[in-house]
Amino acid sequence: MSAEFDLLGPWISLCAGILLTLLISVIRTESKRPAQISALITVVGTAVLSLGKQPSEAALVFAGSFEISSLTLLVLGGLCALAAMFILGTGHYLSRERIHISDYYHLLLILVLGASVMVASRNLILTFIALEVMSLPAYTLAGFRRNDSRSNEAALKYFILGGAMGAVFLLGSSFVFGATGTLTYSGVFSASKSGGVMLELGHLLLLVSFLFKVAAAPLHFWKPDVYEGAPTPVTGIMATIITAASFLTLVRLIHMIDYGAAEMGNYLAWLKSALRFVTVASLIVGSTVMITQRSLKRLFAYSSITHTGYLMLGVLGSFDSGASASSVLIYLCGYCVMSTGAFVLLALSKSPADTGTELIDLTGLMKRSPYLTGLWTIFLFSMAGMPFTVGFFAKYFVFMASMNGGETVVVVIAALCTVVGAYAYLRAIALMTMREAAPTSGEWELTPGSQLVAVGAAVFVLFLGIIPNAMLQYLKGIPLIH
Amino acid sequence: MIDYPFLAFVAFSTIAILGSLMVIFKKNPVASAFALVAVFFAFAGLYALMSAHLVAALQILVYTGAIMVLFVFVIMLLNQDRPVEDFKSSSGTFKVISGVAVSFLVFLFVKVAFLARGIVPAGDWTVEKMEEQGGNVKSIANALFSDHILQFELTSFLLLGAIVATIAIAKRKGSSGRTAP
Repeated sequence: MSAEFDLLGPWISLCAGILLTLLISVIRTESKRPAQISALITVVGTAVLSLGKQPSEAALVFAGSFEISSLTLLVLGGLCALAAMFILGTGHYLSRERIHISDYYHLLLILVLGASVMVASRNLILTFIALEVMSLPAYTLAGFRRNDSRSNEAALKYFILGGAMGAVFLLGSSFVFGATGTLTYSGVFSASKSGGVMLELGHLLLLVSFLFKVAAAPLHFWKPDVYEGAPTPVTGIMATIITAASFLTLVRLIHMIDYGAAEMGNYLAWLKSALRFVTVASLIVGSTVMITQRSLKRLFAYSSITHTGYLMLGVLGSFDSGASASSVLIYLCGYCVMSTGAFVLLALSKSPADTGTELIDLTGLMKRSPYLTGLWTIFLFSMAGMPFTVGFFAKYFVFMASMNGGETVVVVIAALCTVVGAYAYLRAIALMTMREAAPTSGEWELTPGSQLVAVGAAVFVLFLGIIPNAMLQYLKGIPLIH
Repeated sequence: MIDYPFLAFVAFSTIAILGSLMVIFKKNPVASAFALVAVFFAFAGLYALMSAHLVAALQILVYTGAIMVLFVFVIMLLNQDRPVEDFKSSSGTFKVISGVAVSFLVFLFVKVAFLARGIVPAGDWTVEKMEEQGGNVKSIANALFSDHILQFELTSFLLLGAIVATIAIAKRKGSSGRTAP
């Protein structure tokens, strides 16, 4: 057993960092700076540790519950890197909102731990506990602006709906356990050859709970309100870390079943049409409602619903060949970096928190700060999927994956939705560059940490948009499903 | 010959279902809490019927003993022992939609229950196999502290996060300018 713990090195260093951050915040109560630095060192150190070692083969430890492979280490490293960007880039927002306290960093680290364990989990109980470890800090962080009623509403809504969906996941697990007598993914995979209605219902309930987490329409209703109410850095963390981890787990849960078996043929056909519906609904709802939004956070909420739709395209393609699943990984990689950049920029807005940052705050930004406008333009272009940004290649690969899976109709709808969505992003750019600032336009403040993060993210977005090959080769070599 | 286990099953299930309906529909929080106690006892009975005696005992000790005491304590502290009257009544459309959704779910579960009647328990955790491993307590302890040790350890981080989250929310009541450690 001690050998198994040895393999867990990067996760254990994250756990140690969590405890250290808690200790530091207890000893040095008068300042939040030590906790911030300790959290930053923890995530950077964990990222280096996990990206540094790339095992050639996947190892399953703890009776098949936990997978240590190039994928899970990449996810741990990637999530830690995103967390580092948020810690570095959004401290000023927390100070301005007077929620800059040590507990924030402690909860953020626990969230990252839960998210990374959830993706590595190959056991339904472990997935559930990791899901809760990830969600519980998220509920709390969403309500950190205690005196703002919308922040409280966001926390409560997220908590109640998330808790109910956790119960749905447990119900699904118990059905799967009743049908197969095992909780490990590999055990369920081999037991699913004989089929059975109880297994199908259980599997469906598992998927529903995670479709809720990634806010696929029609389970998206919570997202705009929660995004709007939560503090901006927390919204960013939800849009990147939580979405990425939940989506990867969703893909693994979908492929927990052996669809090659003859008994599962009907279920596969049914599941595919249900997922097709979810994909199309997310794309249409997200992109059409997005163009009517004035609040930037709500705009990004609907934008992330369309991104869920695009990611689902990759999932639809993955039924026929497992290789198509790597398009999901490529998309998530690009999406997380551009969203992090966008949310770090959004946290620079000084407009009063009770109204939130609106499109009008962007007007005339070109005159006021061409530098900031340039950064915004890069991220918005990338979200729209323009060439020379990583967003283009991300969309290209999920479209291709879906085409190869024979989903031509869905791909055509997705392409149309891209055009509709591009209107929303281009309108924001037009407001920045072609309009004069309105008297009510809010101020933006640049800070060194946020500049570093935003410029880094922008370079990443452009670099991968122009020279994507190295990264694509690397990501394609990582098996997402077994 | 009377089938006593089946009779007991029917009795416990009826108590559980009626009790959980009472939890939702009682306007007095204390009455809801005590209906929940009845539900927990009925569950314990169901577990015992399935020869899971340890789980039945834990159900009563943990849920009825510890968690319900906390529930009642919180109700007492919040002084919410009077019926809540100011609930807004939900709209007709909402009632129709939720009614349809609930009846569909009930239909689905009943249908699956009938289709799944013939299923024989599989895997390592059937009653017979647990007997072979030395009974309830031994097999659960073995599973919990060997194969499932990671889940067990991760739960401690869940609890740690929950404690910090509670303090972070509760300590900053009033002005958000006063920062907590």
